[in-house]
Amino acid sequence: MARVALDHLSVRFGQVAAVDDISIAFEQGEFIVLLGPSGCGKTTTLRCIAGLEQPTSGKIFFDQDEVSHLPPRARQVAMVFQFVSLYPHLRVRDNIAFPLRARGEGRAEIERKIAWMSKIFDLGDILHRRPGTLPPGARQKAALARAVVREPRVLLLDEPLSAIDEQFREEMRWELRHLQKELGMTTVHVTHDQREAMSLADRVVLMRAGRIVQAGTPRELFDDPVDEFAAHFIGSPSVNLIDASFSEDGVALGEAGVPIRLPERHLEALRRSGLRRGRIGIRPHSLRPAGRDDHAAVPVERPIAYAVGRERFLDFELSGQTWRGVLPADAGDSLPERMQLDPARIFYFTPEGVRLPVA
Amino acid sequence: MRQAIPAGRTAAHAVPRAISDRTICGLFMAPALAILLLMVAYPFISLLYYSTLNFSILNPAKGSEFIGLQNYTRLLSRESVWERFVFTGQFVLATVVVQFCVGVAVAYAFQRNFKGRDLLFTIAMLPMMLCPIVVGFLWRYMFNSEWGVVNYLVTLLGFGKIDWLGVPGNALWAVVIADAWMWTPFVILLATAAFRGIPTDINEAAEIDGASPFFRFTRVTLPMSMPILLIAFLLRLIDAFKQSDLFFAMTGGGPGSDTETVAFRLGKIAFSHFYTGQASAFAVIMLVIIIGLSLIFVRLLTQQGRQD
Amino acid sequence: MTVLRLSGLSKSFGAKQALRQVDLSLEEGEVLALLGPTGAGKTTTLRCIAGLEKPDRGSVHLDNRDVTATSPRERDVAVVFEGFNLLPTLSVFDNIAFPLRSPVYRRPEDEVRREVVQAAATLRIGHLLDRRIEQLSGGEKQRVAIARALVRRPRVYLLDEPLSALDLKLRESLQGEIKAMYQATGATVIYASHDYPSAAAIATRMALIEGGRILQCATIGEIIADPRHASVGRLVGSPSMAQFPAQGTGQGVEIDGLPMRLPGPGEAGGRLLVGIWPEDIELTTRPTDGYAEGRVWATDFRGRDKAIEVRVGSQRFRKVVELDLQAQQGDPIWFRLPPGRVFHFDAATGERIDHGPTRRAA
Repeated sequence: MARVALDHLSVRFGQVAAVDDISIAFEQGEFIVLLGPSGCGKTTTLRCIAGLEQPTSGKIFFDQDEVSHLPPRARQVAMVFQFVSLYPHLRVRDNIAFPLRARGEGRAEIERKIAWMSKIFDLGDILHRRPGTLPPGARQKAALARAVVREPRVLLLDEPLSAIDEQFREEMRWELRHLQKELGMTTVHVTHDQREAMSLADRVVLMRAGRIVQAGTPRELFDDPVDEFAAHFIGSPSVNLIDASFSEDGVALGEAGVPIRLPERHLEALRRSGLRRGRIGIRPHSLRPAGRDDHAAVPVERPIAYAVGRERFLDFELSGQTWRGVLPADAGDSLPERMQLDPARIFYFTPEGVRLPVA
Repeated sequence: MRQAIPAGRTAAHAVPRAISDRTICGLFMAPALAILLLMVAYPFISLLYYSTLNFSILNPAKGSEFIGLQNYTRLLSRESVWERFVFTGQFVLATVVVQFCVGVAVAYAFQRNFKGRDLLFTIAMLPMMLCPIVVGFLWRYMFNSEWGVVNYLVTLLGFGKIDWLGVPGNALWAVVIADAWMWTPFVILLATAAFRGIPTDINEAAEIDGASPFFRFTRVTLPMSMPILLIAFLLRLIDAFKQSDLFFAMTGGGPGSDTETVAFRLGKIAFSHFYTGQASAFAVIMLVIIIGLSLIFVRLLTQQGRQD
Repeated sequence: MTVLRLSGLSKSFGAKQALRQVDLSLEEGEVLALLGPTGAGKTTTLRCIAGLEKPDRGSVHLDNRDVTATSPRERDVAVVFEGFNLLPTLSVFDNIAFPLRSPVYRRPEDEVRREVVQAAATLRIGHLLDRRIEQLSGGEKQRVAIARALVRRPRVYLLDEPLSALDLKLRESLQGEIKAMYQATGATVIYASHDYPSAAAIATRMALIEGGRILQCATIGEIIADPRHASVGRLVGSPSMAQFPAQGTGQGVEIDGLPMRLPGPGEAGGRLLVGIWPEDIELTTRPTDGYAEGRVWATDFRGRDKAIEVRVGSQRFRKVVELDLQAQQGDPIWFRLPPGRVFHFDAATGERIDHGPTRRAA
């Protein structure tokens, strides 16, 4: 189990910088998720750690050892790929034994480790089957066992859940989370699914265009995004966003210029910034029916309410855009005329999308 | 809300009943079936028919006397026929083994990226495109014991000249070399396709798993390309079994008839002696052997499919 | 007015019984979700309605006309499959226009253009009309497929997992568009899915299907107040209903491996399942009288809250909790099932045994 450090890592493909000067360290036993849209450099970063891609510049350390230019087989890493990388011609047990045989471990040792994996991953029934006959979830579980069996210094997961049917993906997420904590293995996981990232990670590294946008606990990313991209990328249902104009009189939303009363503290911060325009964001769960007080409230037009389980959502129009808020479970059938933004959870962005601190 | 629907659209059931799907299906298949019957079934049935006659196309007027299975019994009781089968078997085994050892190795080498790979690959494919008779004569000149290039190389290495085509044992190997030269490209082609069909993920996974290149080749690459290699093997086996052109060009079946393959002998019976009936029976025997071989491989292939 | 009625629909493929006595009816303008796991019979049901499959028994009525024996062309329905079934050689425009140019539904070309442009606008693909299909992303293709169904204005839309191939963000926005579409046109829709949240967001009523059988067909509130079958509980909710194998004692019910005795209908020795919606399970992080001890097996951060899975022996359940609840993986936790909130199901058949508490719909 190693601490992994990336030091000014860059990878260029011709003119394109797939990874652009990244420096970050992953602690021992930490579950790290590299998150971002396709082409953000997350997979390239992972492949660099595996040794499947050569960095153009920068260094990679496992603990004190620099591994930047070692071939994959000398790095003692394990990797699970998006599309199942089990050897289709081998039974599950021989798949698990493969990395052990590749480095010439003894027969008894191999037997012992297969038994160990079978217990942890609950593989009993499928040990003697071939990958092709297994459902995708079981296949990925076997692939994980093969990765973990030789106790690698780092476990690398390249979108291992995305090829799995959605019904089983959630189950696999629970399993993966449980097992990673159980094994205490330093894990770097790549995904474009923010839900998966939030669920699994100790720390999420959100990437865009080869750079790190924000790194932090899922809760930090959710509650305290550094910019509009982070705010929008994380969270489901998505954050509500709208253009706003800031003036001496206050704040007006959207093209229609819907006025909103905001805390004096916020207005003060906006004035100090000197911005005339920007954007305001609020997560649906911080948008609830307003009481008598119309502080930080917006009018509700063309509302549509619907329930998901006991949770009830309200979609409504605000200056031509659809916003989503939540309704308390015990509210009757009458729909609110105004919805209130939780002042502590309003995000302000500059027109360039940078978050404006107001606290 | 239904006002946008023009009148008459709900009267969809007015559509006339069409010809049933089955009929259409049959109609589409009919031309292909007819051609297949004409090109395959008719010759095959007439072959079976001729094989039971005492008949020669040189003398059709003599008629066709039905003699039952006598053509078969006569052929199979002749020692010289059995010798041809043994010789052919030796040839097939030798040439297919050589083709596969060389072909798979070369295909593996082509997996690497190096400069001029595509050009080299194209050149390596050329022998396959040549006409067998031309290849035969080419190698016949190269194996000429007096002025052939092969013996020139042999003497350079300090050995005496070898009579390549005059001694049956040597002639077998000479033709094996020529045949392998011509058909190894086919094995290279299929093996390359098989290797390329293995997902990159799998190879990268093996590399990360700490496997050396040799370990990877024997434990991953080879087993995973087995289905395609098996098909290539079957095709080469059947083709080698039917080989006669190279022998015709290089040895003429000699010395004596010691280097005649089964197909060569069949040609002789049919078109030198013009024993048409007997030749038909011989062809049927060859066909049975080839079908038998194919069945073994089909069995192997489906077994493999079932395991996965 | 009843637009669609299925009665006693049965269908088998060889030995596999795909549908068993399916009864359903759909009112004008209704959106019905057909919710069930893969292989439950959702697709077969839709195919029978569309006429792509002929039922062994039972009948399909469209607008009170028996269409069981008619061909797909003669039924005024449109299907959007999980795959895209678009024609790759044609432009987006021609794909959407395709049904309007087919012999059965042919219309004048200027009308075709107007309809196509309108449908494209509803689904926000107006700017893509000249592109070819292969230049589109997955989400765009799915929109085109829906627009193609939309443009014909059929009596019934059949949507077969139209969103499951898409990622979450895209699914969310398309959900909105599908909803906008049927609210704008008053269309009648059957939406087949295995995903409870998306089905709940779109549908007015839900039919739960498993093993080719309709287990329950009701509004979400009715289902939560009165689930008719153990499988209904497993299909509904996020996380779904917690279920504990248990045994009747004559006086009540004992949950296997837990020191928990609940009032219940079980006769002595009878096997049953005790079900409870996770929201009704009471949790505490301190040892408390009347609570059973379990261990947090794993946690799942969900943004505004988190879910935890609790395990005790072979029993387990998942529940959404406040972010601030001190419950890390491996921590002990205490829980209680309030008696008035549980449902009892027959362990063998899954059928509800009692009628439980009648609760206010959520």
